[in-house]
Amino acid sequence: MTRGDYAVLGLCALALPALFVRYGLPGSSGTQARITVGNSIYAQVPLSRAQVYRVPGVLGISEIEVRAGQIRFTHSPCQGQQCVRSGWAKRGGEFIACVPNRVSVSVLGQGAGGDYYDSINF
Amino acid sequence: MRGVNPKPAAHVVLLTTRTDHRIAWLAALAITIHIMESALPSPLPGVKPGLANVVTIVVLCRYGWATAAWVNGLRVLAGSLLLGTFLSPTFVLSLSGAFCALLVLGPAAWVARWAPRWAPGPIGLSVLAAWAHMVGQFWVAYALFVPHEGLFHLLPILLTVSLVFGVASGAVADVVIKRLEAASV
Amino acid sequence: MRCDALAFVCIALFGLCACSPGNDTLYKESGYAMGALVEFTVYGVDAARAKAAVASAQSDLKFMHGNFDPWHPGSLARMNSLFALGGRFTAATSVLPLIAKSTELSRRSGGLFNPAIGNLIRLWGFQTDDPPPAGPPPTPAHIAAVLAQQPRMSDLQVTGVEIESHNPAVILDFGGIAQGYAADVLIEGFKLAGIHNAIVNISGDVRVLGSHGAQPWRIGIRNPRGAGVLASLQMNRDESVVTSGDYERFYIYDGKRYHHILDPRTGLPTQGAASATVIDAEATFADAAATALMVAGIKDWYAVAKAMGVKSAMLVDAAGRVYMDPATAKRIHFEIDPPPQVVLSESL
Repeated sequence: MTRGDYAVLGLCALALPALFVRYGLPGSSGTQARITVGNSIYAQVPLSRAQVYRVPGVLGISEIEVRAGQIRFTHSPCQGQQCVRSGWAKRGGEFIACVPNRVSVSVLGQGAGGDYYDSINF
Repeated sequence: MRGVNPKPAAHVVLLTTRTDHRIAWLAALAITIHIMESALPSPLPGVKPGLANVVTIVVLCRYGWATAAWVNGLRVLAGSLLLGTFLSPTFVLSLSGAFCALLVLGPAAWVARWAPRWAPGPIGLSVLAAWAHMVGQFWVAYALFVPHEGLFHLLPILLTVSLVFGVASGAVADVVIKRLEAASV
Repeated sequence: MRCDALAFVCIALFGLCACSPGNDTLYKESGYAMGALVEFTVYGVDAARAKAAVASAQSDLKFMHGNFDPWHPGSLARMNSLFALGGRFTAATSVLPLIAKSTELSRRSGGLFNPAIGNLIRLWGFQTDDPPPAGPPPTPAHIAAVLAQQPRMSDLQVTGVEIESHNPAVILDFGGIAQGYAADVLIEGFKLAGIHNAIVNISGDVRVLGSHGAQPWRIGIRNPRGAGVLASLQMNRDESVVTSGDYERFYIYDGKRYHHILDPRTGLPTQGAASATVIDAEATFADAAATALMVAGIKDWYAVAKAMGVKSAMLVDAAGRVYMDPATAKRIHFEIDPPPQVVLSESL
């Protein structure tokens, strides 16, 4: 081993952790969702843990369920119930909104893989 | 004009030098290893031990960058022709990997000449080549074949594996070079 | 000098790594602006510049909303009340381009896209967003009375900046075109601000510019029947995709569903199509055309699309069957399993 060898190995040893931080591990997409009320973020929740969130909007409480890496509205105080009808969202970039209650959820793609959808046309 | 082969004028005469012969022999060796390695099962897609890398490093250390470039280029070309992958994605990836490895080994060999105290030995050169090979392949794979950014999640793992294989084949190259030096003394 | 050489090796190696595209220059901002869900995505410029451009777009949107809203005091509401009085008056200049566009598109659609039917929309109660309308639906006699007034875009006569309506029943409601128009205006603003990669999504009307780095933008199209995303579409040109759907606003009375897209011929909610999607360079055109195709329905969509000059369209019926032209079928990637039944038309 020469001094040059140590230099090369040292640089690789420095670069690898940086790369892991930058790009993460494979398969880590769509693991979090962001719940927004109005124009501000209410919570950012992991999709790995099953849980029901009760989120206060302008009309009342929206009930949002997380189960098996997916998220959906289970109950809404709005009349149209379009949010509940929208069903589960799971891929990065997917989102469901309850416009009357001003509550929305969006699935966040992680790392450089980013969102599967850049925007949703509806 | 050492390699001139006196033949009747009716024949086409190929003027070959000793360097040409050496390149041909070494390339034949590298191609053999390349083909043998392609028969090995791959633990992860895109991951190979890179045993042909040993030949490249040995050639680089003993005969210089130009010879190494020839041997490596011939290996990729002839190897793909023999395996039937010529001009296929495998070939393009292999070629871009080899090209990047040589691109990085050039300045590294140059360091060995002008700053011997900082010159990387076979292990350092092998790791540099392995990483450059992987990054080059990866970049071409992303640009041409799988333009999905999810691919980048794989990069750290692939580079970790190629670091390990780079050190291993560098160590093998080191042993081979020492034996060759002992034999030629 | 020795260190320089080593540094060169490092730069050569890490330069290759650094060339890889990241998504660190992606700027996203979403929220509610004037009752609509709005989302801005900007790629390829630094965050401060993206933020400034989006802030300016937000204020443009606020301005347009104030001008184009027929049901709250503002430019359009004032014009609507002056139409009823008759006579010539000076139009609000910010509304004139939208009137010109609407008049032309209404003509090309054979009146299926008709923004002059504000009276009908008000009769059904769809002029309010919040709270949503409640039944019962208007009686046939009421509907017939409103239809008999026959308000049309061609009733308007524009001379310079002056405007006059030959029909006092004209009430403009640009619900079928204003969001697309706003998306176009905001994208033009982005271009002027030196932004070459962006998405503007106003209540689901999407206009894209450029691409997401090395890969095109991927837009999901909502499933009008059932949950989630029906199909995705890759877009890397200056292009837009707009969908009109019966699921966007509706009410249920006595077990029957009444949605907000009204057929100007019958005065009733449109029948047959659950959603109509149009892809076009211009979101203004796509928005109006999607509305017209909803009205045309499954039976007549192809003829209307052809007459309007629509180049790419997709309709979904109540049973989830998909109708589209071959060029659209080539670009659409279904995200549901199993994929829906597809009925291909002639090419547009």
